[in-house]
Amino acid sequence: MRNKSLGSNLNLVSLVQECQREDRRAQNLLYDHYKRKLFGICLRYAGSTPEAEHIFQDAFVRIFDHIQELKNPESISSWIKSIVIRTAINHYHREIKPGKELSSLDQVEQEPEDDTFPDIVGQLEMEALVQAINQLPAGYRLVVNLYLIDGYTHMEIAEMLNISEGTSRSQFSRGKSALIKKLVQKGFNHYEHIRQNP
Amino acid sequence: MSTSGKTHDDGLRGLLRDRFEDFEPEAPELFNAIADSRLTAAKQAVRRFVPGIIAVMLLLVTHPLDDRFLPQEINTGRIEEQAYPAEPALHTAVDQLIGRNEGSRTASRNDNRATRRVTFAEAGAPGQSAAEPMAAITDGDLPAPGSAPDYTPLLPPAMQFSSGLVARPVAAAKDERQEESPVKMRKGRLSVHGALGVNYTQYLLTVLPQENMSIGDLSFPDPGEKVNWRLQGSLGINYDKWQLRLTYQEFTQKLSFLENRGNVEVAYSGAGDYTITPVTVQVSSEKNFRVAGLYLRRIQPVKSTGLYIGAGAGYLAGLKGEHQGIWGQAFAGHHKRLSPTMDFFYETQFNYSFRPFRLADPSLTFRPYQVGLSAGIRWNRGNR
Repeated sequence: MRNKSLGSNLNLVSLVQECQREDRRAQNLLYDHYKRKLFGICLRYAGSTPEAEHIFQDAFVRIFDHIQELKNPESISSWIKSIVIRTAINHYHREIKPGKELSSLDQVEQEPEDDTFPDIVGQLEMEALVQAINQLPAGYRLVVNLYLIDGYTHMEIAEMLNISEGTSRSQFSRGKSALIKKLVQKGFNHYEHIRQNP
Repeated sequence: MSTSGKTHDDGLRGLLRDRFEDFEPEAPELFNAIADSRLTAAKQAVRRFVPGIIAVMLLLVTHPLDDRFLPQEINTGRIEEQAYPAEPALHTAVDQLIGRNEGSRTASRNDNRATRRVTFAEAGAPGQSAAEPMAAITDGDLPAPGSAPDYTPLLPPAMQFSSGLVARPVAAAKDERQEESPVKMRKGRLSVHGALGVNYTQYLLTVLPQENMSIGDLSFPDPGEKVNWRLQGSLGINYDKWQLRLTYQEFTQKLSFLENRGNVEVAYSGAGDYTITPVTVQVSSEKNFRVAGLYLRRIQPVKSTGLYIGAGAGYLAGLKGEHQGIWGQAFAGHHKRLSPTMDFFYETQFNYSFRPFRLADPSLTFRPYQVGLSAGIRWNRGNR
């Protein structure tokens, strides 16, 4: 987390307390402090940049609306991250058509795991990595993000998405395969690009 | 999942988490849009709720239910004992009523509630005993309550009283009452609060259905007393958006009106004309109430504006045991953070008693409703 404008955790606690008093200047500082990190999360969960901006704005509205409910200002970072993730989940439930999502699930075939995948993940540019995640069907994207990157368990994911644990595992398995397929493709393109433009 | 699959997932997990650990792309500058969005939401909430609440409260305070809401026959003002020529049909009715007796008869009756006078007067027959009309009354010659011939349509509007059993919204009075409370509750957090304020009380007056009685010329207390603000106070605890609050409130019920129980005074002119006058009794009542009880209230914050609205219900009892019943309450208010542990709040309320209070006259009941203002302090336990 960036701490350029906030020298210490103590300052962050004070900033949160000022935000709880509805101090607009403090809110602006808090926004500046977290905007890059949170927008990165939004980009992962969204299918496009405009969608990410939409989630990002909604999330900050919720953060400022509910920051008075934060009991421990020291835990602001994890609290804010959870707000953003839950906003993205709400966005998914609200905006994604279940029928459309279902058909997209059927289109994805399970791929055998590729041992070269870790190398590809390590070498790809972040932009390409995010792009690969963005291109996943929304349901897969959600579970892949929650499990692989944000570290939630399938039990927690099942509760958050109101699905069964088995469905979460199944979605993750398919989503991971789809992601690997896309990353391998991107890795190949990347390799071809480097080879042609040494 | 197989062990190798699990291992593979864990490796992938660690790899991706590492890559995204410091992923901080350039973010759009949306702070002003976010602030505007919150402001718009708050304005919408204010536009939606507050004007209506303020309008209702202003209406109740400045225009308490008065004669305009009463049935026309009650609204006609004081009854003048004037003589009107009797219609032919009325001759028959009156003849039946008095048994074609000539003379003047007067009967008076006092009961333990208010002075009532039942008078029969037939001109030209002096010396008649008062016992006869009384006998007629007790023997049932006079209309029984609820089944009596209704002469009122034959009377001039100024003399008409409805003998029907109509619950009459009325007005007049004053009082006051209870309390009020705070604010945005912190989730999962206990807090305590105290508040003081005033209530302005009006009430709805109801004639009990079994009573063959009507009322008119209802009057408010003196203008100086019309705005009747009385003390209210409360202490309570909050948990999340719920409040349990101990409430104390005072109010005064005061009114006067003319009462008619279907009796008329008939004067026979001797030339074939009758003069009929409704017999009315002036009734006045004034009583102070002090009640206390528990309210359970639910608060809904309006975004982050500091405004809040809510509703609740409570069980209140008179300190002298004269009343027990359920009250309802709707409220809107605003809170201001004074320190991390202290909030100041002020609030307006509308209170209504679902159970009627009894007047001295058991034929009538009244239900208080109140507009209240209060302010107080809330202490948030464990807040830093």
